Amino acid sequence: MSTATLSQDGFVLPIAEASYPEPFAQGLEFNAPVRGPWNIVHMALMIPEAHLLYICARGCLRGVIMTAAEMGAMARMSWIGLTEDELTTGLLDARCFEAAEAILTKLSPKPPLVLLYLSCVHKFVQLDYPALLAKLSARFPHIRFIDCHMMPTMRKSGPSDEERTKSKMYEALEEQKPEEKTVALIGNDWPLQRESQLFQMLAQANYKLLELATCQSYADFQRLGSATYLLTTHLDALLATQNLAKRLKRTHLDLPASFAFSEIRANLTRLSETLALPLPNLDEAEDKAVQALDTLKKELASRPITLDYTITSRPLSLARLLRQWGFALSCVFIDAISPLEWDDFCWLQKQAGDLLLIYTRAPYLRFEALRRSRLGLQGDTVLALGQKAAYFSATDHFVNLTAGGGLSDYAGIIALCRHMQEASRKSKDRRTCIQLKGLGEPSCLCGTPCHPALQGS
Amino acid sequence: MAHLWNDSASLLPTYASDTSGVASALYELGGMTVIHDASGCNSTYSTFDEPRWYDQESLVVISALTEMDAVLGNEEKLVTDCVEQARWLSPAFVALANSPLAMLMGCDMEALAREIEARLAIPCFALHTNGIASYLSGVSQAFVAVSKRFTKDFPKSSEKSLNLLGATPLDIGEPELTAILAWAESFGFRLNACVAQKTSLAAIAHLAEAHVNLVLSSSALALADYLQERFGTPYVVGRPFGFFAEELASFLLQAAETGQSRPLQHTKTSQGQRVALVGESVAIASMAQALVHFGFGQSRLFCPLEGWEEVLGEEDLGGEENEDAVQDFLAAADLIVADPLYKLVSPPKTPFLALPHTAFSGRTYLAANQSLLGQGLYDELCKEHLC
Repeated sequence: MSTATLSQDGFVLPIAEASYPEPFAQGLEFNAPVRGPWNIVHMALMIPEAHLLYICARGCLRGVIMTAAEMGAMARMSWIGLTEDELTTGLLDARCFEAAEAILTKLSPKPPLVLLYLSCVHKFVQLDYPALLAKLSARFPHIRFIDCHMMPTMRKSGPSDEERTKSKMYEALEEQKPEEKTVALIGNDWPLQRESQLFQMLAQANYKLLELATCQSYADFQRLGSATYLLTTHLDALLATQNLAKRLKRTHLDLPASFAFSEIRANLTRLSETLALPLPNLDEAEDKAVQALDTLKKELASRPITLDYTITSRPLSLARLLRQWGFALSCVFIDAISPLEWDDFCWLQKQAGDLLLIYTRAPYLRFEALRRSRLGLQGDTVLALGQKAAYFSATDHFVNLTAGGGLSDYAGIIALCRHMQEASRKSKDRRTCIQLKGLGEPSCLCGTPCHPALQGS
Repeated sequence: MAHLWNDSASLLPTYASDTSGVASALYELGGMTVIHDASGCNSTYSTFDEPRWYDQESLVVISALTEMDAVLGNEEKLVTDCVEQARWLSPAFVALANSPLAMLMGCDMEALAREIEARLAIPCFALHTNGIASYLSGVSQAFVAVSKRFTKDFPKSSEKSLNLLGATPLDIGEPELTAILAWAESFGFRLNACVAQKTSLAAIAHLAEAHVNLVLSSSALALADYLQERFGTPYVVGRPFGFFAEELASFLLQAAETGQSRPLQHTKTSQGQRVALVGESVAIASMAQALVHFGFGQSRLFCPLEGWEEVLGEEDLGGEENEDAVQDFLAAADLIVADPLYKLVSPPKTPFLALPHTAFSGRTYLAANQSLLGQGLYDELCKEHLC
């Protein structure tokens, strides 16, 4: 089928014809049954011992509560349901305080931190957030309260809920004296790959790397505030790190994850210069990545590949790498283009203009059988990178990673090649894998009880 | 009965909302259900409340409401987007449902539905949802709305036939539905329609042909009343648990013969052991009837949802979700019957008969869903050493 026919539908575009940053017209949206990418609950619950309190209407609450329930984390989550009267008759402030007070009074032991989630309805009716926080702080002086926001109405017009949550989570870090030779990696869902050049450079210079993903206690989390340097590798943590660096007066080093050798080299060189670290032999690391890509290319030959935006924060950087290496990447499932990817977008437009961009929220994609015939995809011969690509390509051969999976630098490319090779050889249970909420988190669908008290139920 | 109110919790989840109810009720009918919402309603529904989402096609979408459209009251975008998609995808109808923010914006969904219908020339209707009421309200409205639009005045079928009303996956899981469908045809009735699982819009059109309706959930009481008023079809309320199924079958034969409806009213006896039941009112009142056969005569019900007024008895409790009240309610029972998540507020040593309820625990206990019809209930009670 010609790309011209496909593009008439508006949700499938050759990248050469796509506009930046929103290639697709916005309209009604479909929600694909792909649940691996983390949401604000998974992220906030990374802070050990913190308690989440959501105040909203039932319809909005259920999603976050059931997320926690499936993780077996119900003991760390409470909720207050709002009525129409409360939202429309000025009772909201009093109701929020009274219900929060009642819930927190019952909690034992008291959590050190409460992330209080308010939503778009509160904003719409002008709830006085600072007054609510002040009242709760006065009532529970030993609890730190942070206002967080669940505002999907703003997901296209400002920082996303995930970016806001990350920013707010790190507001809970107390001011403290900087600890020498410590670096905090801010906002990553996954621990940094230990074989990565980034990790190895820090370790070899005896720097301690602090990450939320490896914190075991609230004290561990607080220690993140002692780091001298704050690193970010993903765009959705940028706001958090900028705010934190300003408040704690720390040096912020932004080293965006990338699949471009030149960008990786530039990042590591900046790290070396800023922290006065010896720069390892990057030519050698690069050669190993080239070797891994060459080997993989030989094995996959012309096997069709699809890719989606949930596997990495740099889907177009990865698409560019794959096309440069001659892989048969046919399409990228993506809804918007990140500003970080402008260069990759331009390169792909010029050098790989036939690469299809497909809008994952298009209602039409609901009808998978029709879609498959229209796109000419061939089910299990396709190797998919990411859960959405697996679902829409209808393949059981897929790389099951989200948000980069902690992979970084040249070592990250080598590891990704390994994942691709494994996925091409061995199928996965797509239906089960991609429907599990929060990849890597415990799930009651895999045997974790919804609550410790339900062990054995 | 007492009416409790305190919608907050630190251990239990909340029930599915009215928007999920609308989407679930209309899922198989070939329409396009549009929830006027920014994001969460659809992902919550499709993740936790809709077991058919992965395998069965349906057109349930959100409008992707933005802050700017909310503040400026831009409703034309919703109309245009609905018209554009419907022209392309040709649904049998368009159903509109409001989320909490759209409710606060004061969207006149009925006016928007008329506008869409005028532009498309296919039926469009609005449901009065707000993301605050429970799924029962949404299911109930959707059933009535679709029936008003599509049920035709066909004569009663020549052979005795039956409609099952209220069978959404939110209340009734796959194994139970399969057993109910087999049971419904085992005592002399032809199954005319099942509203609304394993069904179609054509089945809705022919609802009037049945001689009697069986209301399986309080979400279908309004539809049963509507069909009675419009076509004179009597109804019986109850869910066929255990050997109560036999009584229900005789009620259905009687109703079909006399044309008299038979509501379900829970009455407690002073005999036997004490059982506490929590959940949707028709489910727990039916289970209470079924448990009488096993010596649990002193049943008390707690329905934390709407629709309890017509079913619950004098000593039962109905109202909003209230964790403390549920805990107190369950404290003195010899047997508890509820969704397994209620174990979190149950005395640990009290025998517990699990009644998984998707509208409450989502997909958590889908795999444990089973039929408790006829011998099934006996077998489950034996597992708990209660028979």
